[in-house]
This record gives sequence, structure tokens and C-alpha cells, in this order.
Amino acid sequence: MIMETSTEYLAKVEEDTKKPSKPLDAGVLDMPQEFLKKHWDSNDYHKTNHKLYSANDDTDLIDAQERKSSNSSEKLYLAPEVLKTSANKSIFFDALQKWEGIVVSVNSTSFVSRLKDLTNKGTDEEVILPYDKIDAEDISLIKPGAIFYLAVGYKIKNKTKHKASLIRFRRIVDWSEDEVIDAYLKGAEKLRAVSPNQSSKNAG
Amino acid sequence: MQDSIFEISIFGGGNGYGESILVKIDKEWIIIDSFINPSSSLPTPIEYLKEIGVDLSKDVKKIICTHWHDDHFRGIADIFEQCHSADFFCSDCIDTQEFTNLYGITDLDPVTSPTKEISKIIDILKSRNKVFHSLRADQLLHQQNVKSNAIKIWALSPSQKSINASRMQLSKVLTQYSDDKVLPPSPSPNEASVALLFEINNFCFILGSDLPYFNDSDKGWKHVIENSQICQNKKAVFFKVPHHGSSTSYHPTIWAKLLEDNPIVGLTSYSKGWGVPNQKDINNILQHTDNAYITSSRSDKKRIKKRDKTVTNMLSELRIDITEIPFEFGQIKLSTNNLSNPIFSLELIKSAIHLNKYF
Repeated sequence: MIMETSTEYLAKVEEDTKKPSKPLDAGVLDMPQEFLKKHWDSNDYHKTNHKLYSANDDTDLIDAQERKSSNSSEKLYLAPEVLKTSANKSIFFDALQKWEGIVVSVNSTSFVSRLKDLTNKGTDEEVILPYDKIDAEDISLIKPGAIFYLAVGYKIKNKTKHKASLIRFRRIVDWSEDEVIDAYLKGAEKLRAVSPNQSSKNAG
Repeated sequence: MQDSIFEISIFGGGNGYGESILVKIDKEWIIIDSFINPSSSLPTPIEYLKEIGVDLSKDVKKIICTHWHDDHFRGIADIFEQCHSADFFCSDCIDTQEFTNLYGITDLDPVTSPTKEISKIIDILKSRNKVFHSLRADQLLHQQNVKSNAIKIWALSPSQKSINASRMQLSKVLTQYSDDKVLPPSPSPNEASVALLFEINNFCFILGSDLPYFNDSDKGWKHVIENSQICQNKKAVFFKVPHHGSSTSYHPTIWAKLLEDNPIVGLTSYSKGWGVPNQKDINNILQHTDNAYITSSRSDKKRIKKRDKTVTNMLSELRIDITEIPFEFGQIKLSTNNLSNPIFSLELIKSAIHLNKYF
């Protein structure tokens, strides 16, 4: 949710969110084509779509910035500093600082979350967010363990800058029954390959 | 003191960062659980071992993940990657259909931490042509002789009934995950965790993980006390208090039946949404021993992290109140140079303190 913004804008974002999955292209976000080619091959594409939140969501859609965490070979890609929506190219969100949050506990009017700073390294942080700061369509996603992204920065519309924050919850599309069965089989296969028992016990 | 023949160190980060334990026997190391130092982004056991000059690729022989809760497993796959000659151990719950199903479905969206750690461990095991070792109650996982001293390491849990309970909980989590796509922070129950007993000649010590006490002889500590063949006639001189001293893991019979009088005990704190140990938990422990230590004091100070002024002002204007969760690193280190007649040396490093100074 971008606070301090118009209902018209939110409607456009919502419209984008509901669009059926389609191959990533520069129309979704202004992404460098080299990056897309490098990081989204056809196999990844299916998986990536599961994690798309909305057209203006910055979590997995990345520009050239990337950093490598010092403790692993895993690459953490930072979100673009400037986001554009395909619906309205004249609106930007210029993020100054970003966090990844995980919901720890849920109360009647707010929820407590633990934040990891995606902009600077360091200690975790805690935030209590009231529900009225959350997009209506995201309210049902607020459960312990749910992951969201928080950014503060500037919303730029028609060359005017407004201080704003953006909160988006991670969304995953529903899986088909076949996908679930396939996932179970793949999980079993992967674990069985390194299990001393070769096949899972207590199978049921 | 790398020259010591035996060392046990408990590390804690406080405030939900996690806990980890290192055990050194002769020249070999065992790593039990892991957490990340947020300043360096490195697993704390690795930082310590590197600092004292341990050759990770040769000297670490075992890595044990007692259970898949986020304050115990973070960074464990990275540790395993660097410790080329180590074997990997975890609770027997991994070898159930429910666990594999949950692993498989969360792997569709591999952002979830335990799934990422497990996937990386699987890849490392495959590349080394190795298998993991699953642990359950009364299982011997290691034995050796060091200078005529017989050493055995046993798993005290989980019991079969706890494995069954874990299967039921994982099954519920699986349904919930399929519906909500949200993995709860603690998908498997604490009773699935692996408590360990180290037996060295005529002394032993117990690492309690997060194992709870139930009024049920077939689960948790009561199962260990009443049914374990391993613990008969053995009393530990050192105890890693389970589950941060929480009342869910406390019962006087644990102290009476499994521990020597006035044992040395160590624990880590946990305050993520709620705080343990609380004053009652501390009183419970201190009535049994004077030698109780904790890796850090209670920290409920709210402070704001230093950051760019523009961002600070912006957060204030937007009424987003973000406070820092302090990393309170502490180490409780117990060591000896003699396994036959051990005289232990105790060091409290960084934030570690006596338990009576916790509040």
C-alpha cells in the first residue's frame, strides 16, 4: 500500500495485480533486458510468477543493483530504487530504505513484525503496524509467518514529490492439485536421495 | 584456550536471534545449532572457530540441528558447506512423509528459511556422496577413546510418541500452508527436538535443546527420566537448560533424577513477542543450583537505530515507529585439560552473566 496516494492510483495498482500472469517484460517494470535474460529463464519464470505481488511490487523485480551476502553464495537482489507501473508511467516510487518483514504476532487492531534491513546490514528491527496502514486486499494475508516488504521514500507524480511508504505482502498464487502432488513427489525424491533409509518411514 | 582437551561453549544472541553450542573433545569439534550475527551476517559458531584458529574443513566432525525452529537453524547450511569432513545430524522427524510433503510444497516458494537451509544441505550431501543421520531417543551417535577416556554421545529424544505428535502437527501445518501459503515460524513442535547426553568416563552433561516436559511417560523429559536406558544411574554435572528456562520445560524431577547436586547450568534468553526466562523461571532454576549462567541480561530497552536523517524524519512523519532489536551476544564457556579428573574452568564472555543478574 502506498500511503498518501489517490484512490485512482490504487485502483490502477489493483487492476495490475489482478492481471493474469504473463511473461516478464519491460512493460511490467522497467527492467534491464540483460538482467531478465540472466535471471529468469523459462523454468524460473513459472516459479517467479508465483511470487509476483503486483505490478508495482519491488520484491523480486530487480534492477542492476545486487549484493552478495557475505555468509553464503546466495545472491540477494535489491529492489529498484525507482519503480514504475505499467498502468501509469508518470507515477514513481523512489525508495530510500527498504525492509523485509515477518509477522510475529497479530492483535485486534495491529500486528507486530520483525524487520530485516535490506538497505543496510545490521540488527533486526521491530515495528507495530496498525491495520489501517495496510491495503484492504492484504489484510487477510496478515498471519504469523507472513512476509511483507516495507519501503519509505518518495512518490513522484507529475513531477511532484510526496513522502510515502509502501507495504506489500508476499502473494503466492494457488497451486493446482497436480502441482501439489508433483511437489510432494519432488520433495520426497530429494530427501530420499540423502536419507540413510532410502525411502521415507511412516509413509502414509 | 584452544589447548583444552574439552570445551563446551553456549552462544546466545538474545531477543530471538538464536542459540548455538560448540563442543570440543580432544581436537575435534561438534556444532549444535546455529544463528547469525547480524553485524557480520556470519553464523556465530563459524566466527568463533575461525577466531581461535580451528581448521573448519578438518576439525569439525559433526553438525547437529536439534530442530527446525528459526532460532536454531539459521546459517547451519553455510556451516555445513565449510565443514567438509562433518556429518550432518537432525531429528528423526525429517524421515516422515509429513515432513517430506511440507518440504516439497514449501520448495515451490523457496523463500521460507528452513526449506532453503534443507535444500542447501541436501545439495551438499549429494555433492559429498553422503547421507544425513536422523536421531531419536536412546540412539548412540558417536563413541571414541581419547587418551584412555571413553566418550559416548547419545540422543535422548525424540521418542516415538513425540515423532507421531510431530507428524500430526506437520500435517496441520501442511494444510494451513496449502491454504494460506504462510509457513508458521515454528512448524514442528519442540518435542521433536533432539536433547543430547555426552558421557565422558564418569561424568556427563546434558544439552536440553527445547525439549518440553509433559505429564506423559512416553514424551519429552518424563520419557527420558522414566524410560531412557541411557540415563540410568547417570547424573550430569553440566546442563544446557531447555527452552530458555521456560516453565514448559521445567520439572523438579529433571533436576532430581538427571543432574548432580548444584550442577553448572547455562541457558540463553528469548524475547520475541514474549520473554523467557521470566522471574518465576529463574527462581525455579536457582532453587536447584548456585551455578546458573545466561548468555545475556534481559533487554527490553526500546531504541532507534542510527540511520540517514531523511529516512528517520520520514518515518516519524509517516508515523511508522521502528525500534531496534538489540543483538546481545554472550558466551558461556566451560573447559578442562583433564578428562580423567576434570577441574572445570568457567568463563563468561561478552554479555554472559550469572542468572541472578538477569533482571
